[in-house]
Amino acid sequence: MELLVFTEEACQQISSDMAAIAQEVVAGTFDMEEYFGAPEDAWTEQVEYPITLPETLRGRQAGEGLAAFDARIAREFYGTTAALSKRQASDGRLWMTLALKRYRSYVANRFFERDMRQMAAFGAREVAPSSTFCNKAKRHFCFSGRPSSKMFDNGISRLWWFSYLVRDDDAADPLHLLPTLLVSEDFAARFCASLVSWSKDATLGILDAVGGFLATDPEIGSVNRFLVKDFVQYLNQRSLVMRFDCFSREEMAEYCLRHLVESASELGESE
Amino acid sequence: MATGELIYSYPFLGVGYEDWPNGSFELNVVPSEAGGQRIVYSIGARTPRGWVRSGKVQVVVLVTCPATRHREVHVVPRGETGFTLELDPEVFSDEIRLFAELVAAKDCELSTSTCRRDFWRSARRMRVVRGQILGRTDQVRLPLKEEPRKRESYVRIRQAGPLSKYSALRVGFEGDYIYVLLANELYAKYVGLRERQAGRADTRLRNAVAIQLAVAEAVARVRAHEERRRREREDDEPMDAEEWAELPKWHQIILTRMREKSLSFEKAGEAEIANEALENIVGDALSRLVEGYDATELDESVADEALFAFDDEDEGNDGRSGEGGEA
Repeated sequence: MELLVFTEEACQQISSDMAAIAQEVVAGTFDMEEYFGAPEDAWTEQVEYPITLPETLRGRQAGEGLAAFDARIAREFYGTTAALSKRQASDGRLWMTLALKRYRSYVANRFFERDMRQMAAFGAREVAPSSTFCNKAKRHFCFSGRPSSKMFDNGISRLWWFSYLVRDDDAADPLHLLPTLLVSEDFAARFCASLVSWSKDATLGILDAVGGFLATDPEIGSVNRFLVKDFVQYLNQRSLVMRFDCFSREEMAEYCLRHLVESASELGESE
Repeated sequence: MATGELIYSYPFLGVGYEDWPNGSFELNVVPSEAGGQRIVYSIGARTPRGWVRSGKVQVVVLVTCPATRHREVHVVPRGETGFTLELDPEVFSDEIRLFAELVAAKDCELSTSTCRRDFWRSARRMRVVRGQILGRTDQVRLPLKEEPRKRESYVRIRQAGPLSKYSALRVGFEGDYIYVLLANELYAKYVGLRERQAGRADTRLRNAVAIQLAVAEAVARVRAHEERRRREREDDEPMDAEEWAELPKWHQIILTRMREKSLSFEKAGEAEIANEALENIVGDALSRLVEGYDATELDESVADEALFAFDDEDEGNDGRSGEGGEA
């Protein structure tokens, strides 16, 4: 499908002005034509992508946890956009356009629920935006930050990249590892920012191990999550002296599971 | 057009060699018929080929692309001294990083007779498993193809007439550009240096120092502009798009960098802001040189940034005549 996306210059301009326009963007009162002072043609360009896009991304259902919500939306979105190449999926123009235009309300509801309630109660103009709020707006609506991890910050690109990261073409359900990756936001963020996650086999092996480990004893779920966070740090340190790309998926899973089990027993002993 | 690069040696940890000598690895990048790029990679005669042949270690080449998070590991076949990589344009962006490693094979055994003593001390404490990295070359960045929209430098070096007591180096502003104006003698030295030491870090460092001065001057102008603006506007309204568009490009870039790095005129001086805006290139370069790093190791990442690129504006002038340039 052909999409009208922001030009690179427009993306840069929005990113640098985000602190000033964050409130309007979140509240949905941001007028692009007024902001650019020119008609749409001047700040957009037409690009062909081998995908179709869902008309809207549905909101959170009653009682649905954030992790389950993210997994459901990621699955839905990736279902129609899987044909993007990695090169196309690392192009910020597409993701900024989707986050700021087509799926703006999804991004606002997902990341700014509390801020929106506050703005609705006191009036958008009455609430001075904090620097945290502005930075959050920049992270989730724009495409900026470290080149290799900014795709996990943008509210829409993260859906594609989470799914791409866990895609297991050998399984009946290629996205069956999504809930494992999204078991906690901390784990997902740390893992996706790590160099280890660049390698496909290593990623699948690690998630196999984490999934298996968490399934062994649901009673100690919170302890396990703590281990999972430390575990990413451990993998990062090991990756300085070990080339995990040389491991098969099974070898990686075995290596990781052994470490997780040992860490859990050490923690149990110290308690 | 083919571009050639050399992977420089990097002192590596073991397997009986003090260093991986210069020229151990060589590569050429050529366009492939499929529209991507092809890297022709060869291993020089001085590398530990005996080890590679015996299967105790394997030479692997790691190719990564930060923009697309893509990485490929290529294992050099035993006994081979070179191979060719085909890079798929769909998964690589315009720049890749590449380095070679010696990786322990599954049943690799290390002993004092085959390892450097200092490596052995740590090796004894660790179990050598498949994938253990024994040594690696320095990382090399390779631009794969012409940028579709090449970033333009907004700092230019220009010849500025005869040397006088007060004008060896001055800074000028014209439209979107900052000009470093060098007196003839200085400019001639600069041209000579550039020719003799093309691409060398020390040349880049000298340029960086000159450019830092120019950018500090530009920051002072931005500060004056901001102060004037604040005086004229009591409501302290943020800049609108029209006002922003009217600013010269260098002014926009400095403001953008300051926002990105949370810098303010209240907290930082002009030189400090200039250095930060240039990604601390001058400070980094100096500390690295002082610490004895190989000068060729100077991080080139900042070269991506528009404000920093070292563009000369020769305008057909070789720097030896007394004519040309701006006063």
